[in-house]
Amino acid sequence: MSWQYFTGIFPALLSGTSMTLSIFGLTLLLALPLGLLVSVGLRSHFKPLRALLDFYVWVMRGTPLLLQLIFVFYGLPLIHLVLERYSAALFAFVLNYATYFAEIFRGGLQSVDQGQIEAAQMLKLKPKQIFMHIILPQVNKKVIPAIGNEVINLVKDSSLVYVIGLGDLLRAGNIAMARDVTLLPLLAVAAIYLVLTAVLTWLLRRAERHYAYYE
Amino acid sequence: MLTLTNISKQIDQRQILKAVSLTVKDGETLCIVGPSGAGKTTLLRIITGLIDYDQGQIQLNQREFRPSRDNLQQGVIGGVFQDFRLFPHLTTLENVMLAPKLTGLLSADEARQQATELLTQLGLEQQAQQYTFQLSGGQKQRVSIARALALKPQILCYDEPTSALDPNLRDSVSQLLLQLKQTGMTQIVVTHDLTFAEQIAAQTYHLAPLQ
Ligand SMILES: Nc1ncnc2c1ncn2[C@@H]1O[C@H](COP(=O)(O)OP(=O)(O)O)[C@@H](O)[C@H]1O
Ligand SMILES: [Mg+2]
Repeated sequence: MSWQYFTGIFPALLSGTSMTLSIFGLTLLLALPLGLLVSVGLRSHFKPLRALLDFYVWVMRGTPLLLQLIFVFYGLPLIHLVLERYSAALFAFVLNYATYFAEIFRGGLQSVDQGQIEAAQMLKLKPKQIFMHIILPQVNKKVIPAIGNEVINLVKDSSLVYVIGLGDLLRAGNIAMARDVTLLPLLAVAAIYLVLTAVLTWLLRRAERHYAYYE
Repeated sequence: MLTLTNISKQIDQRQILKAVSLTVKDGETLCIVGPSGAGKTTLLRIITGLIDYDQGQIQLNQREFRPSRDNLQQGVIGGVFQDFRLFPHLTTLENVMLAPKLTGLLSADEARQQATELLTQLGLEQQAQQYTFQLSGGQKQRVSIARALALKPQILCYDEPTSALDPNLRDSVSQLLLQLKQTGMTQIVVTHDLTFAEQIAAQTYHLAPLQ
């Protein structure tokens, strides 16, 4: 009987999963480069830029993501900035996660030996080439474990989008649970999250191994 | 030919170099000797363009030359760091081919070909595909030399090339420098190892500490 029950709620859970994955994937795709950009800005010699970015990081890391979601969706319209649900969720997630990534990248950038940069300068490489070919590959190796933690967090954090009425995986489970008065949907939801994080953990291990070829 | 005329440099309001003048003729090896803190590394950093100088003039082949600003076409002065500073994420071969490829001096294929030749010339053909952490100190130094040579520098500078190596490797370093001299390479070598200086140098420049 319960197997039939699971196949019955499966389509709803699947559509929830696709929302979860879409928030997750797009956030990652946008927040990683933004975070890298912010981390470079945080090391800028231009003080006003640094102050601005410090403030941004402080606010986003110092307040709950849930609050930020509510603020973006319900608060911004007050200043005539109306975003539809999905864009609002993405906006809040990208801005939020970019700060965590920025802090991680900042540590990574700090760890690159200044001597590497001088060696590249002496070889007449341009600043952009030095960044792309010397600094970034060395930063990537350093940051992958920490980025990995945030990636796993992001999968689970994506369930917060329920608060602005988006139908993600957890919400699909909740609806089924309330309707059918059973905890079974939550078991199915947990199983799906576990599968997602297992796959991601595996991918992250591979990425770590990819950079393990030196030192 | 490289000519420095009255080069002066201050760092943090402290005079590090004052009116340094010296000349290195083509194909010659110049040894810069002097006590620790005399400013030898600073002078090399100026010559290789890592930092700028405050006063004075540098000429490369009788033409005004600003190492920190001039581009490949105006001349290259290569350098080998005391601690080598190879790129750990690249293979030995990639270390050597990176600069000519990225600067557009050579195509990727030409850069690879040249890197292979340089590594062979320096006895490193076995190490081409290895990462630099797998190399011995002497091998690292030779990769560092190959990497600098890949940009076809007019002059190659070394900062204390024997200091990070086993003392028993000194002779092989001096042999290598003599071998490069035979190919016509102009070299500037900072050292405080006078035996080594004698082995390699035709000319010696004493850099006295300021006081
Ligand atoms: N970036 C720097 N900042 C401050 N002081 C420096 C810097 N670079 C060199 N110096 C100072 O300049 C002097 C000469 O240093 P250096 O050129 O390394 O001498 P050497 O190589 O002959 O031992 C030293 O007193 C050193 O402390
Ligand atoms: Mg020195």
